[in-house]
Amino acid sequence: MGPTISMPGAVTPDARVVAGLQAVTDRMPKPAGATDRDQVRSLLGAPDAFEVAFDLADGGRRETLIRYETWHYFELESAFEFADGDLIGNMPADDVPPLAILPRQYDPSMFRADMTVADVKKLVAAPDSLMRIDAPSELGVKATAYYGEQLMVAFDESGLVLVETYPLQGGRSEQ
Amino acid sequence: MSPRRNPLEQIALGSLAVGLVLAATLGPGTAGDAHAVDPVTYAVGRAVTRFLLGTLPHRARDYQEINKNKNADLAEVANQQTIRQYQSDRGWLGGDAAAQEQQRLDSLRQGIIDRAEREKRITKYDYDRAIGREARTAVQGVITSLPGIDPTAAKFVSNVIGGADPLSAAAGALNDPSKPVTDRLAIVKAQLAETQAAFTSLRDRLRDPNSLLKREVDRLKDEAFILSDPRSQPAPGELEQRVNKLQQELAQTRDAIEGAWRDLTGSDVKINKERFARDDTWLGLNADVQALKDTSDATKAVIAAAMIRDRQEGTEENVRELLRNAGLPTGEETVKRMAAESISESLKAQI
Repeated sequence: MGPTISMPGAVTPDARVVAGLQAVTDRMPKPAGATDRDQVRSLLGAPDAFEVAFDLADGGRRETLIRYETWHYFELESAFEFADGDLIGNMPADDVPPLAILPRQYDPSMFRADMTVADVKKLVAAPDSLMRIDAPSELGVKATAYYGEQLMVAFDESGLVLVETYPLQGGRSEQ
Repeated sequence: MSPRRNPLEQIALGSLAVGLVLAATLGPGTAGDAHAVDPVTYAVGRAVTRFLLGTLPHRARDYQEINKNKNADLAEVANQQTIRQYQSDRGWLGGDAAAQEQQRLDSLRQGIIDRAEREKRITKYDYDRAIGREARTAVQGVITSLPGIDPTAAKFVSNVIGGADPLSAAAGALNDPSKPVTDRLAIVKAQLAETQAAFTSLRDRLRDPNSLLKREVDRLKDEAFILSDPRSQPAPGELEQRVNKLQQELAQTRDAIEGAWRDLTGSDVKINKERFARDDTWLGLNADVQALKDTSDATKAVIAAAMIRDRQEGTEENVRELLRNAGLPTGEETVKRMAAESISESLKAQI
């Protein structure tokens, strides 16, 4: 008679392990806030850098404006993406060097779709330092960007469509 | 009493524990479904865990590739559409099979577009990148100060870039033989204290406020204290050696910090190139596309119809010939599967 092979059955979690696990999860900080976005903030604080984009729903087929946000946490090398406050994605993000200077003077909540260039200029220390750049014509959109003080904002014919903050670091940025 | 952990550490430990236990007891792939914690905490915990456990190999794509891949996939669908139309025109494909195939191709086309749109969202808008890239190119070298930063810190960074910072002054003072060592070390301590103050001032704005270079500055200041304090000062011979070493280390630290901030410019905030395969929404959309690609029943319907029409036997040779005539792949496994399925279809059709 050949050797007997015994197959292991399904693993049943030990009650003590489950209880221990529950104790660990009970000690975890509880997120606070009405939206996923607020809850991420309650756990991780304000983002190191962020993008805010205002876009029409269904790729422009509906008039409803959606506020998309991407929050970067460099220490975690991670980015969280929100649509109107709902968490829709969590993605890996590239880190920046230890001595990079982060755009902590800005917070996503400072920016709204109905803002004008004048409103944005009130948020920066030296408004005249913002550089104006028009979108390349081949892109087929009439858009203008203002750039400076670790901030880029873009307006099209409908108003503010994009906000991006960025860290400063040594060396030349990748092209 | 155990030391108090910060919230991030607690989330990391908790999510690691939850993930490991669930994986061990329920098998892989279940941790995300069985939310032992609420979804936001789970997402944050997953990010922390992913960071702790390192990266996994995934495909890399950039924005240009999104459109290229989408167009290639859509061209493939259009090609299939042409083939099916050709087959329909000749009566080889009709009825429910034709309708189902049309629905599949429509869904596949939409799925490819939706997936590409998701990839675009992940990669950011095209004009965002175009404008941002142009702006960054234009602004390089223009920044000579740091608006929005505490003046002490801004002055320090500007001075580092210009070579007139406290670390340079400290290194220069130590190299001045006209002063007694004690006086030189007093200057070094003062300059290092100023450097520490600048780091403290920058603390909230640095990616890593406790970076290796910051810690090196702290260590050098401690060393300067030891060398200048009569109670800890070494013998003259060793003192000279250690002062020389301190001078070299000051210069190296200054060079490293200067290197970190030279040509200070804006860096892109980037989503990792390995992003798509770790984005749940994209994974879902991609799975839909793959499933639609693999579920066509039209080919076997065409072959079955041909067999009925021509009274052909469902041999592998006949199937291979029919596939070749239709411009479809004739791999061995495909031929065998099609032969078996087509016989079944033709029999059902003839009953």
